[in-house]
Amino acid sequence: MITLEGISKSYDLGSVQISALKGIDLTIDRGEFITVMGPSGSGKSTLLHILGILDTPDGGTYRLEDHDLMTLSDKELSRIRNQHFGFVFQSFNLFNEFNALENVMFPLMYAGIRGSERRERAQTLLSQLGLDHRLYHYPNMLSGGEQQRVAIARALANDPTLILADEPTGNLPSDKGEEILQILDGLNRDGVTVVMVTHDDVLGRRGSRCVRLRDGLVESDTGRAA
Amino acid sequence: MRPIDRLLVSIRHIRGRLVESILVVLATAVGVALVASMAAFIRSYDEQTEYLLSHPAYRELIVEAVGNETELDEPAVEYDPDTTSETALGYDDIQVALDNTTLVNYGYLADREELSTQLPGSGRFSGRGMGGGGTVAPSDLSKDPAAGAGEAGGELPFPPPGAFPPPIDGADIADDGTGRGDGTGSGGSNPFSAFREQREAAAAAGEELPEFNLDQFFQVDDDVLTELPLESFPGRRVSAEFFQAYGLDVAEGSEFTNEDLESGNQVIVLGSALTEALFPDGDAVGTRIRLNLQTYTVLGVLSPTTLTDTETGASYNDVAYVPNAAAQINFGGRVIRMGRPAGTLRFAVDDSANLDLATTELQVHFDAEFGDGSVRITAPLEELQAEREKLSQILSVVLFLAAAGLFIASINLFNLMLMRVIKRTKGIGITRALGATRNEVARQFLNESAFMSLTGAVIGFAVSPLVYRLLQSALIAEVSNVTVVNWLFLFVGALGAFLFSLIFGVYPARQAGRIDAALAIRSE
Repeated sequence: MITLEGISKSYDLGSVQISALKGIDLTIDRGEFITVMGPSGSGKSTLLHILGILDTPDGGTYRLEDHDLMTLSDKELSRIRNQHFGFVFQSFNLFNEFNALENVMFPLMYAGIRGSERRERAQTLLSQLGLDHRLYHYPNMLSGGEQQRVAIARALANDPTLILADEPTGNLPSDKGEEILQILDGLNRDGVTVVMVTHDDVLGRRGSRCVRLRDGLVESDTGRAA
Repeated sequence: MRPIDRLLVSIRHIRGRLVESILVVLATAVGVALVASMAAFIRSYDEQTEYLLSHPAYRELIVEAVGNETELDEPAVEYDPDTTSETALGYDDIQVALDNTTLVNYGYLADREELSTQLPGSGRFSGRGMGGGGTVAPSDLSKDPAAGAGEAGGELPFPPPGAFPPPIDGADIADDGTGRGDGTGSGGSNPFSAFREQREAAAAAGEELPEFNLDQFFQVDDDVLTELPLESFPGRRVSAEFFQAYGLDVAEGSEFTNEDLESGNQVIVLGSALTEALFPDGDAVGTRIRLNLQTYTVLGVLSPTTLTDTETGASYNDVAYVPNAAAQINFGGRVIRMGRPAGTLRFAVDDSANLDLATTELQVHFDAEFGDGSVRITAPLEELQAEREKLSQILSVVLFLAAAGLFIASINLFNLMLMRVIKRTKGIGITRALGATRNEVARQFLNESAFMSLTGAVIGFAVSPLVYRLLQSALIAEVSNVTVVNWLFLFVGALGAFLFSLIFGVYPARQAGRIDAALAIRSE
């Protein structure tokens, strides 16, 4: 589904140049549950952001299905993010000015879906995630686990094929984290590809494949027999 | 994203920062109101200037005798031909001046006077020495012949014709209300003369002097209307050429002529609106009415005009025109030519471009006639132009302040939006992750600032008529014909101010669109 070749990325922090990725080759197939591991500063988040086309690499190629993403416009890339990708963050990143239902409706709004249909879809997603009674609660009225479930509902709003999760359980107690992981497992069983960044070895073994990064390079990849 | 959704999201973000949003909206409203009302005001001011420059009052030249001016609020000056005849300007001098000049087109008398339908003692009557009760000693009456002549009395040492006729060689000269064409006295029918005879008889017989009975004095013929719908209204005491100089035409009846003036005929010409107010049922012409204790016959009704009095602001449709007493040379059949002082003579030109030359001509003429420096000629146009120039400078300053107000409000909006972009950096990153394009992010912020600009503009436009009135009362003391708000320019001004303030939202919005999504998400 996704092919990365020679992806490099460096950040210019004033006088210092930091190379976050130094040439990553990675192929992701449909239906995989990939965990990305590595120490802090190894480039995990950068890789995730490049996968999610929030960030553009300095070099290399990124192919999604048959598209060379390097040649697409911002509008086309945004549409891919909107329709095919779902993001889940460590700190949930819900909009505090909007209630749970409205947060889930955001991606649908960018898809140009009408209000009534939007509301129906968001409601369905939230109730599937056990949040029927929290539809009109604002993020600050929800527990961490509930917030993360709202965030997952939001990520699923447009029926994505790829979920990109950046330490989704990092801010949660272990029992709540387990709930989230089970949801992701469930999604993966339903055919959604999941890429999850984590630094927890236990969680790293939850996926079907584990990619380890070190200093901006792939150190090991359990998925590649070769 | 659908525009309605964008708007709803904008409103939520604005609601989330309500106090600062309201302050910026109010500041914008103030700026918009100032700019809009200034735009409308300057437009009205220009229209007014244009109107005034075309007004007959500003094609006038006013000739006054030097050293012989009387303050309006001083009591009427007794006319003494021995001391004042040298510099006294009279009605006769008008024709002489017209004959000796080439550029002066008109010459006339035109004094202002309030005309009252009330009797003395009713509280509304402003005549001097008459305010007391129902009875007045006859000596008071004869002492103050100008009583009842109102403001113009100060300029007219002589009484209006037929009022309280000064005893001239014992002749009874009252025109007892029979109106035009009857300048002859009617002898013993005058209650004043009758009373005097009665009093003299009593004095001769050594009896107690009889009390003067006002009621008896004010008795009028049955066909004279004394009850009129208005208590008083503005009047002008004019001579015949005034109508030509001011372009006033009669719609009904006729104007009065110089013969009417000279004979002292008690006639009156009414403005159109005044006629409707006084005679709602029509049939004004030929009616006899009592004004300032005199009987006038309505001679004509003027066609409606757009002219207003440049001093009082009254529409000329609301004014009545009566003959100027200074033009009267025929008292009860006696022709008196002694250069009766008229206070001020007025001359006018058809083309105000000729005003300077006409002034010179008149100055030369009057200097030759009365001696150098004996008369002063003033052109109201010059005063107007000087005043307008001063006003224009004030308006420029106020306009600058209004624009500065809008600018400062817009900068506040700019700062607020820039601050919001910075504060919502992480949120921008998230929306990009959820599928918002750079353009969409920018539009969201532009929508928010535009919403605040628009709210401010609407509020500003709503209050701008009040600001306009405030400006009007502060800047133009005299009433003008431009009293209505110019809605078109008010709207155009508000629209322009809104667009101006809108521009200040563009830069922050573009900055929001440029934010790097990955960095934004990592930011706190």
